[in-house]
Amino acid sequence: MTMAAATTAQNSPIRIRVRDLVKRFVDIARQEEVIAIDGMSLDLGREEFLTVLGPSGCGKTTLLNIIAGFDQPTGGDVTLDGEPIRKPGPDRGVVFQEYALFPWLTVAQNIEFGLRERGMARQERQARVQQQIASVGLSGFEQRYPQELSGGMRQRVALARVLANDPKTLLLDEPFAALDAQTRTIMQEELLSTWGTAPRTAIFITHNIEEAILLGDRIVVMTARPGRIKEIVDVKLPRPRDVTSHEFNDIRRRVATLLEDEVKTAFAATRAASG
Amino acid sequence: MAVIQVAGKSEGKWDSARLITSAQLAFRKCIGPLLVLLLWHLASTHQWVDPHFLPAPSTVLRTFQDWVFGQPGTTTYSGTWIIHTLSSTYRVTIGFAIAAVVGVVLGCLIGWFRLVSDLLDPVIQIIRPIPITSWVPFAVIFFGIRDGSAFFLIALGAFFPIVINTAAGVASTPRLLVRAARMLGIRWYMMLPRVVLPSAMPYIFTGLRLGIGLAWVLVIVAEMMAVKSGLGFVMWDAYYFLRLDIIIGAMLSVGALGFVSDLIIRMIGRWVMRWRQGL
Repeated sequence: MTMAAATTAQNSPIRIRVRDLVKRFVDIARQEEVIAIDGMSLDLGREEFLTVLGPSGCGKTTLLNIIAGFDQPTGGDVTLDGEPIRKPGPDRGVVFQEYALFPWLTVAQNIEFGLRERGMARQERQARVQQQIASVGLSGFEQRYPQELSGGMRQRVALARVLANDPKTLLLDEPFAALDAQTRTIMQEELLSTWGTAPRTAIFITHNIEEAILLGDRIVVMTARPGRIKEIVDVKLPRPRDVTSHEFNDIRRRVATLLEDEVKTAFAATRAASG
Repeated sequence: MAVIQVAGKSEGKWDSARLITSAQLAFRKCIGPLLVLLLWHLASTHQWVDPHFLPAPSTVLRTFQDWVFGQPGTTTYSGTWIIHTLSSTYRVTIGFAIAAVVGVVLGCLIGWFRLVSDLLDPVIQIIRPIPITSWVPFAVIFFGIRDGSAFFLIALGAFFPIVINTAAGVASTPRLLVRAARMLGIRWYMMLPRVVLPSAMPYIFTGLRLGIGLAWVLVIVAEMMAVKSGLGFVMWDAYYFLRLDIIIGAMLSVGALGFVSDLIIRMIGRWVMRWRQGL
């Protein structure tokens, strides 16, 4: 890539560009090739919150893993600011459903992890950690270990740990799926307010329709395996969104219809495979 | 019965119900050893067994007192316990330290790098089933009747459980944590010390505990065959003079030392893995 092209990419409103993405892998147990993603193209804006919705096994997580740099595409291109993605980096913070906190580190040490790797001076590091802990409401829990915390608190630590690195992109893989309904609602609000104060590119994977509409500027509805984009639904509702409003329910109905066929297809495929 | 049920729920750590049951528990746990002691005493005093072959507990106790506190020179063994105990402890410490360092370092490399595993694992698997005692002739030939032989045998014996457990622990580092570290921007050379090693700690300490147990077995073997001091040497020496009271004293000493050293490793482990408390 030339300097001119790189500069153009920096100024372009697009952060992540996915072109004809294909991902195949070999299922060792079944001795067969699986097509996880079969031709997917997508552009993501710099301050866009994208939610990805689809039946289980549709390649949602695979897409996220490729953008995170954990997996490599089989075909097509995925670029970040014009550069192909080759490996994970602190510019793309990932929040996992299973929290993935380091159990041997305290809350403060977990949040400090990325800052230490960057070689940030101790005092600056501690100030940043304190600020993150306060912003996710975990003051007083600095010296606790992850296993002493509830699921919601653990996911707050995971989010604070990522935000401490001030990433340009946030990748969230069903982060609230394991939480109870009340905690989930609170976490959704907190995530939106964090994102509102510092908008950045966000991709949020979920299988919960309401969550997808509540959070996303756009919703990518995926097909059952092999994963393709079935439709992209714009959500032009102002935030905070009222889940009981007419407009919200219109979108909900539309998305549910889109998804229903795919869930049935996925279910039939699973039954055929196991039977 | 009601008391036990309350304790099972354990609402407060030191409520009276729990104290009663823990006292009862302690008493119950003493019954077994006391019965063995009684049987031993009867066997000896009633001459079920020739007291030359099985000295009474009281004889052993008297001998042991003299061995530990007696004026050196009074008898062959008087007051020499501490010297032999220190020699054995010294050998175990050095041998075990070598095994721990080499075992953990090699275990990390084997568990983390496929190439190292493919190169070294077959060698380890071939040598491991050979009883360490069969190395005694080599130890004596290469290291002589000196500490070196004991260090070699102890280190070799303790090495295998440490290296195998470390490798298993390193290899089972959760992929999720490795990914988390990578997306947080970890420098490649920090992956081992900051993620893999802490994650493998429970395995490593299992290996260390197995290793220290073997170290005490092997120090006795080494001292019986290849060195001229230490508790193992005393056992062998006393055997020639049919001083089974001394042998029993030495056996109990080694047992106690093994227990204490295991306790120390367990305590270090508990401190290192304090994050697991209450898990």
